This record gives sequence, structure tokens and C-alpha cells, in this order.
Amino acid sequence: MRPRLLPRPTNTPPTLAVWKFASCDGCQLSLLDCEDELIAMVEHLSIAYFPEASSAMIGGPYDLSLVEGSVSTPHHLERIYQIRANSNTLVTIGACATAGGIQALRNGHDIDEFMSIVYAHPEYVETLAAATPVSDYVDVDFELRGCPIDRGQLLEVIAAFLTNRPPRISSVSVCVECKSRGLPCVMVAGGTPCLGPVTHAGCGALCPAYGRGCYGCFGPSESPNTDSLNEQLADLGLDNRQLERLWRGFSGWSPEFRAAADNAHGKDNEP
Amino acid sequence: MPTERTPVIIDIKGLQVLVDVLIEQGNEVFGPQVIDDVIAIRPLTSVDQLPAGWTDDQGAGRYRLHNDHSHGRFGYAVGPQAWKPLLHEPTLHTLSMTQSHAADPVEVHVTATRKGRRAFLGVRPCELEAIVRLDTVLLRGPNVDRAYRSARSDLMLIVVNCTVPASTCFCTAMNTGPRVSENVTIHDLEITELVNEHDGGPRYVVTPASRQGAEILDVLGSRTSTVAMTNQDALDIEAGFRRAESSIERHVDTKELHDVMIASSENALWAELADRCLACGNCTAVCPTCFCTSVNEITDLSGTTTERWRHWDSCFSLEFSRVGNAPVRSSVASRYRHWLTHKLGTWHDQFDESGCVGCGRCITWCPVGIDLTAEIPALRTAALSGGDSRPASGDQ
Repeated sequence: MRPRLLPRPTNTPPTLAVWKFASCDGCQLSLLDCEDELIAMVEHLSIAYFPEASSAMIGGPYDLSLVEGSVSTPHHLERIYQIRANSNTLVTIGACATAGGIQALRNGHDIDEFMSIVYAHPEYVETLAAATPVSDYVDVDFELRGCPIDRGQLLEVIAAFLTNRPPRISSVSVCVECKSRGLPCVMVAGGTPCLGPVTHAGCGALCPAYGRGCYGCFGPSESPNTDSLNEQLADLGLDNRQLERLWRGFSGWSPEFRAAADNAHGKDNEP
Repeated sequence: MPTERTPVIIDIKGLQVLVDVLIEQGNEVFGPQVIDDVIAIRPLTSVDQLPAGWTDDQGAGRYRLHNDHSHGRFGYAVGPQAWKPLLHEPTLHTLSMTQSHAADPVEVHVTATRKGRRAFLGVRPCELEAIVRLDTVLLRGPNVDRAYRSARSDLMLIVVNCTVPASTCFCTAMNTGPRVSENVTIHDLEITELVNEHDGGPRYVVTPASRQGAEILDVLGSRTSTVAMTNQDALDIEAGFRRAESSIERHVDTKELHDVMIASSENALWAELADRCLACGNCTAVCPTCFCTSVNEITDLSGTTTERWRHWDSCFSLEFSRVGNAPVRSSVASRYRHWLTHKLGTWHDQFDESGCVGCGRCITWCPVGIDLTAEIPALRTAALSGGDSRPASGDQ
């Protein structure tokens, strides 16, 4: 994270703002979920803007902005530029803000057709054709992955911001967390399709701990070889439709997972 | 070393007495058990917890257990993890530092290492060889690993020879099994399971391998009926090992393997492997000799306390190859090459032995089933011809 230099009063704790775009609020709740650390947090951070938690709202500029949600409407576009201009450090949190989220399933399709089916009066709806990550529009200092984010990782990002050091967020695969916990591999030992080998760590291997394959919530890991995993998943018996569905999850609009889904889709449409 | 290495034979009740004696002497006993469809190592108090009748079907990227209702308790090869996590923990808190105010001295609290006696029952010969290698790296080098030293002290190692290898095993090529080598001296007892499906339960041939092992065997003799080994038993044991050896399907030609690996740095095979490799790190996590770790220091919100954690790291992690401000092995091909070249080649230069014990875990637990025994012949052919003689892709 590289702190910017907007003027702020000295001798006061840095200010925190938490912003919501197209999202379910789950990542903001992860912040409120830091119950044991909230007292310490407000000693070192002044919560200036966090409508989910408090109706007291203080104007900017802000030292640290946490942004949840994808950019989905023209109004979102205006707001994200304002927030960027008003924030020293901007961190996006969660799959929606970092990869578009599940709502990015609409991307690349006929948005007018969707609206005509869903809404009685689509003419009242103002929306962009695509739901996209914040980094498509403004500079982002750090992207914290997950659906939802992991509260331990969120605390690490905030602690790193407060001590002006890079956050220690590993981008290795979920397999590393699985093996670290001593969990047996659901794919090798059970034949269960799993995106863990190409998915960014952070959840602590939550799904494999319950015998389920990884859904890829944290998006691609640092070196995701999705082609090779696609071949292995096909060997396990998944057809191209099933493969495409697997990739088009909460981080399905990330470039790597999107390409993997497109590959499966393309194969399905081959004559 | 004991002066006398006379084996005795006990039955399954005698094996329970052995477990009881170990526990009475203050050991926490660990042994193989069926947990979540795999053979896992867990604390053990009863021989009923051992995997009776279970056997494993292993292949590249595939592991299944099935019960063939045999009387044996050790009728399988190796599970997903060796004993490494008990000796070299995946995550370890090593110290914390506190400085309440800038003018105060920094208080350092070094985390205590684990204490207490343990006994590992069911260590396979290849796994014992892996512990020998970890000892070399973590105890015999210029920097002794204090956590490992604690974990290795007050530890009884009870080897159970391998009579049912898996299809992924290649211990015969690496000279690490299926029977424990006479050159290995770090264990206390050597056990061979004898299963005759016609005359009841399994029998265990127990041979002392250390003074402590001989003492345990003395106590065992006073607590349960032991019988001496007959000539027929000796023949049965030998026949069992010959069966095990002949059932091993995979092979690695180790002749000048070090030189082959060193000569292979520019081989096009690494790029082909990178097309398949997921860089997920499973192979290094399950490898019983991979020892690499990274250390992280995490500050709290106030910035007054720092916790230092150590965790397993891997050749396949991009971050692990970072030197200064950039990774020195940015491609997966270079990371794969680094891993295998160290394991089979430069490990010899560093530690005067091979880093591979032929347990086959990296083959079984690779999600896409990359098999090093299938790749080495191509490296050898190219190295011997003085260059990369692999056909261009598509020519096969």
C-alpha cells in the first residue's frame, strides 16, 4: 500500500471510511465481526464514515477507504471517482469489489433483455451493461479477496496500514492451507471437483474442511494454470457445461477464471 | 545399539500390550488410522484404532481406500502425510516482541518448544529414511532448528516394514524399502506383520534396534506371551519382502542422477511440465523431506506487539522465490526445475544423500498426476546425448 499525501490534521488518529457499491454487505459485516479487536481499532482509527455501523458521518478526506461492491450503475461511477479523490489509501474488499462478484454473471449478455424480464418498469432502472471491479476505473492500493473476506486478513491489512508496511497476504493456492491443516485432498481421495489448486488462499480451506470442493471465492492464485485443471476436471467426469458453471462463480469475472469458463464454453459449442 | 537383536513374535494382543507399555512409560503414542477416507496419523491408545483390513489403491493423482477384510493392520503403503507435521509443524509461533513506548526496551518472548515423550508406531522404512534426511538438514547443519530438536528428542520410532506397497511406490529404486535398511540406526523397534489368512489374526515379528527398544521388549516379554521366530517364519518374512519388492511397478534409474539433473537445466521438458503443473504446492507439502519455511512478522493494530510465525513454504510459491524486490524464479517451469533438481541432484552436494525417498506421495497427491518417475528417463536421454533430444511437441 502506498499512502498518498492529502492534507489532514496532525495529532489525530487516521480516519476510516467504509463504502458500499453493488454488494451484499457481507464484507462490511466482517469488519463489524472483529468484535475482540474493535475497541483497539477505534483507539487507532477514527471511524469517519461507515453507514452500516453508525449514522454519524464525517466528511472527507479520509486516510483509509475500504470499498465493498462492484461498480454497476452510472451513479456508482460518479461516486468511485469522488471516493478515490477523497482517500489517501483505497483498499477494495471482497469478490465484488476485486472481481465483479456474482452479479458479473450478467456481463457480456443483453442487459436490456434481462431488465425486461426482471422489472415491471425497466425504464426506471439506470444501470451499466457490466458489473466490474473498482480497479477498472480508479487506482487501488490493495485488493483484499474473498466472498466474504477473511476477518483475520482484514485486520492484517488495517494493521499494515497503521504501521505503514506492506500487508502480509499470501497469494498461494488454497491447497497450501488444506495441507497445513492436515486435510485430505477431496479431489485426489474423493474425486470431488475442486478449484483449490488455482484459487487464492485466505479462507483457511473452509469448504475442503467439510468435504466439499473449493468454489474459487477468493479468485485466482498467483500462478493459476486453469487449462491444466480443466483437463483434470474433465477426466473426473465434468462435461463442458459443468466446467463453465464451476468457473463462473463469485470470482468468475476475474480474467483468469473468465478465460477458463470461456474455454469450456467454447469447447461446448464446437461442432 | 543392542548387542543382541533377537526378534520375538507377538500377536495382536501383544501389540496392544506394547501400546500400553509405551503409554505407561509416559509416551503419547501416534499411529495410522482411517480418517476421512485416508490413512492418517493420529494419537492412538488401542490397536482397534489401526486400519484393520484396509488397503490403499494409489495412482497418479488418485487415492482410494478399500477394505479387503484381511486380518492385517498394516496392509497399505503410505497415507497423504508422513510424520513430518509432528516433527516440523506446518505453522509455528516462534516469538513475540513488545515495545509499549518508543523509549522502552523491546521485550522478547521466545515461544517454548514442545515437551513430552512420544512414540510413533507404524513408521514405514521410507518414512524413517525421510526422518534421517530431516535430521541431517535440521540437526546436523550449522544452524540447529530448535523446534525440530525438541520434537525429535524423547521420541521412540517403531518401524513397521512395508509388505503391501502401492503402485506409486519406488522405494526399491531409492534403496529405502520395503524393509528398513541395516544402515539406518535412528529407530528403536522394527516390526514385520505376518498375516496368514488361514490361521487367525496377524502376528508381529518385533526386533529391537536400540537399547531403549531392547528394554521395551524386555518389559513386553514379562507382560505378554512371546514366541521365538521359527525357520518357517523367517522364510515367510523373506517371501513377503520378495513379494513386496516384485510388486513395485515404478522405477527410477539413480545412476549418475545428480549429473543428469545438473545437465538438464535447459531441457524443454521443464516448459512442458509447467503446462501441466498447477504450482499449487501439494507435492512439497506431502513430501516427507521438503523442509522449507518462511517467517512472517505480524504487528498488531497498536504497532506495539509483533508476533513471529513460521510456516511451511514451497519451491512452487512465487513469493518464496523473491530475492530483494523481485522473484528469481518467476516462471512455473523454473520453479518445477528448482524443486526436482534440488530433490534429486543438488541435495547430494549439500547433504551427501538423495532428497527423495521414493514414497511416491508427490505422484499420488499431485491434483493433475504429474509423475516424476515418468519424466526422469527423458531427462536422462537428453543429458546423455549432450543436449535436449526431446522431440518437439506434437511429434509423439
